[in-house]
Amino acid sequence: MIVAKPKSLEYIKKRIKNHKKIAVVGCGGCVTVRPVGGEKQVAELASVLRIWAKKEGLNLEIEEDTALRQCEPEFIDELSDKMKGCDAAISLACGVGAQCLAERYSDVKVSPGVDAVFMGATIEPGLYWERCVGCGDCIIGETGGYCPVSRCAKSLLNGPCGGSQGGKCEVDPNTPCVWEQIYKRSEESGDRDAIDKFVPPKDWSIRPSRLTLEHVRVKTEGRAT
Amino acid sequence: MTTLERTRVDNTSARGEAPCIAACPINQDARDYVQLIARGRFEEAFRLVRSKNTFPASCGRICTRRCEDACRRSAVDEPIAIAWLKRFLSDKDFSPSLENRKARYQEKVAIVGAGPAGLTAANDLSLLGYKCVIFEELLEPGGMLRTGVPRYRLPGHSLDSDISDILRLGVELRTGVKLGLDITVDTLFEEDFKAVFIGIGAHKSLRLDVPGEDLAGVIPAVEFLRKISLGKTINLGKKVVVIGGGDTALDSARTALRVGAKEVTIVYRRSVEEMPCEKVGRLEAEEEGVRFKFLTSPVELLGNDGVKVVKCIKMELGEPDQSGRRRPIPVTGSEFVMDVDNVIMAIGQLPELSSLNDSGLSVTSKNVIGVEEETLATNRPGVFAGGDAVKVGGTLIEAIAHGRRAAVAIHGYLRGKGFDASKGPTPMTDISSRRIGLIKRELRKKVPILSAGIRVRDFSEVELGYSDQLAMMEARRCLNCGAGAEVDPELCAACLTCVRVCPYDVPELNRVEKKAKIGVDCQSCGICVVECPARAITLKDRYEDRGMDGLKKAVEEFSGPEFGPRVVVFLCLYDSQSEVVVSRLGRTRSNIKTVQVSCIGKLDSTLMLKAFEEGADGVVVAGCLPGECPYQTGHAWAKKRFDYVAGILSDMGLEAERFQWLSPSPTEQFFKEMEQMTEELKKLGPVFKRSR
Repeated sequence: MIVAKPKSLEYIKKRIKNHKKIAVVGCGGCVTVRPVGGEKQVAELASVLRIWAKKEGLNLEIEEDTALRQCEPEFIDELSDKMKGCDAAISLACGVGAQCLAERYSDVKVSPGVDAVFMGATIEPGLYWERCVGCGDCIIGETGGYCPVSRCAKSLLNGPCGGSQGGKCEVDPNTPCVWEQIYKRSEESGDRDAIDKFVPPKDWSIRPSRLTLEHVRVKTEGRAT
Repeated sequence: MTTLERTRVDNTSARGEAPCIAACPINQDARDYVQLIARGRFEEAFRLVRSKNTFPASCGRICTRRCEDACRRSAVDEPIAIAWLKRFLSDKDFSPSLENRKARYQEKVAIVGAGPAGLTAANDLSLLGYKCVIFEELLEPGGMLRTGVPRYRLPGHSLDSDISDILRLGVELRTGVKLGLDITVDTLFEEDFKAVFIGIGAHKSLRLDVPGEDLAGVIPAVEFLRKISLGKTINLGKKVVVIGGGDTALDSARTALRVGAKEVTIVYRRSVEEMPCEKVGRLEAEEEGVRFKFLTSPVELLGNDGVKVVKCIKMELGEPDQSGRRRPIPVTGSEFVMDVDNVIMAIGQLPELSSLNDSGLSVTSKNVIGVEEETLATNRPGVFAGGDAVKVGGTLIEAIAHGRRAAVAIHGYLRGKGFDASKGPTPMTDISSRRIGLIKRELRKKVPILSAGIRVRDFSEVELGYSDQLAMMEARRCLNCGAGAEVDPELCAACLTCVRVCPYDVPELNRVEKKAKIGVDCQSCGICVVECPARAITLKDRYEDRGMDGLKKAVEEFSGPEFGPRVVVFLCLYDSQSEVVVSRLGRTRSNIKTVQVSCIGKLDSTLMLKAFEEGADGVVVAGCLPGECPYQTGHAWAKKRFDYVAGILSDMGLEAERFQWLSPSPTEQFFKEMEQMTEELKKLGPVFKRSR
């Protein structure tokens, strides 16, 4: 799931300062679950901005709404009542959602309220770790279920490096060295492929930025309207 | 332990009624009125009690309290003192909001016997729209409550208040009317009553059938208690023996002490474990000096001019009998004698059915009026019966339940409708054993009682009742079973936040629906409600107390353009100093508004912000002291949210002095800090320019 962190209030204030009516728009997907952009955070941010606006004597009207998922056109359409008359919006979705919002409401100046940082998992409530970079060529089958691309500071495919100290990464002593974990798992399972086999450098050129799944694609071209 | 490593044990179901409510014969809303008391909403609580229970003052004192036996808190420490809390409410002298109402229907209903069953039937029938006339043999209404329960357990004025609240509905009471003599079932129908309810109780003492039972000085317990209760005198000698092991035996013994007997002994044929009386009553009797002779049975009463000697035999316990208690068997050759001046026979009662001769009503093998279990209808159309007259040894709450049921059945009969025999609710499962250790132990608040030496002097009430403070503290022990958090599956994003934040490990993932589910072990701490990012969780509890309404009211009270400064104080309702703070601030500071939250852990960050948005110049969050939180973690969560909001406010350029975390105790310190804050806010000026 996508993990994001809130942008500074300073940034958001700057983005909306010269507007009359803005919308704070949340997303019911990843950012609700890793709570930075759900209904509750929308209410918090809207409240903070109202206090700020009143304090500054700004004449700013603030709407609140949350799409079930901000990356689906149908759900973005449902925001239209609240978006009406807004000249700016803060999207608390990831960059995908924020762009979809900007595209659909092109007359509204959309700014991000959060920064999506990675695709990760909840380690414990409030603590999330990156687990995937979307490299386009997953190798965790060969590496005991651990992804060295996202979890090694150097993304080494043939680790560990000399910076592995007592099972920890030299970059951050709180991060376990993923290659040490891969070794341990290999020994436990008796599958020594990950350790014994040389993995050639990753071919980043095969990573698509546009994906077509023909078997699910619905061609809209030529369809009667 | 990380989330990924965590494994969970199956949770309890989300279904089932609170056991206190399910166990009560009238399904009294015990949990809900206890929760209202916890919030200081006493009058509403009383109204709720009275909506089902016609005898709150009496029940609060002498009920056998099945609710407390069923209370899930027992697994943690001790059950909630539900009866004491009900009594507390009745002592407040609120009047029920029910008023005298005009009969809606033409049919009149006759009720024979002004005991709890008859009075309750009259109450409910009046509310349904019928004119009711009660016929009572004695000069005062109340039945066994009046004549059988001694005043030190149920003061006359308490019983009077229960009864007057019933009579004011327009019920007509005719006293001094004897069934079988002045009226019969036939004459009642001739007098144009369309239905009759018979609630004549069980006022005839059972006989032991031993030689000498008719000697002078041998008194049936029912007669003894009735005479004393009605203010008549009975001259007892020094030594009194009471035969029997039930509440009537205890009441007789303790009453005997209060009317001059010096040495009172209860003789019971089984052992202390089998005694059917209330344990508390037995202990109180012991304190007062009542002696007990267990495993003893009288075989003969002797004396020339009145009883002088009781000849007894020792018993031993054999195999269990039909009642499940071990059968007492006489020990051959163990006879002994006791000197006595009086013997009180308290071995049981039966209804006086001779008054119903020629009424055509069937009588069961147990010598009570035969009725249909569900409707309480007798074999004669239009005649219903309830209370001890149909089930000897019944309790007050059972009599009330009979009255309620009979009223519905009579209404159905008169309107030609059937009787909807709805089954009572099913209680929820017991609290899971793995959760018990997570709940903070807190023993029940004892009600003060008169010391034994003082109480035997007269008939003053033994139990003195709760103060407001004690009652609220006791009520706050309630686990609020079945009124906790609930997930709206439509809104749930299955983020599992609730699963992870619950201090009691209650929420779980419904593996079929892939939605969170919260079982009945929820303690209503509200942490998941606040933390849920999808706002999919609410408390089933119908008493909104997370501060939303409170804040709305508080900001409405801020008025005028002048600068106060305006401060909103969020306070934990459970803090022992909360009431003191609220009343003192309310009295002395018009610019400071308090908002009570039932556990500060229920306070949402958005509400802290909302206070500023609505015009507060300063906001205080006053959590309890760290050790005081009934939920243990509420304090920590509140502090975390406070720090988070403080960070946002500081980013926004709001001065730190405007948002403070204070402890309400010690109160003097708190008021001093509030003073300081007010001074600081005066220097800072308002957050916004006042527009209104």
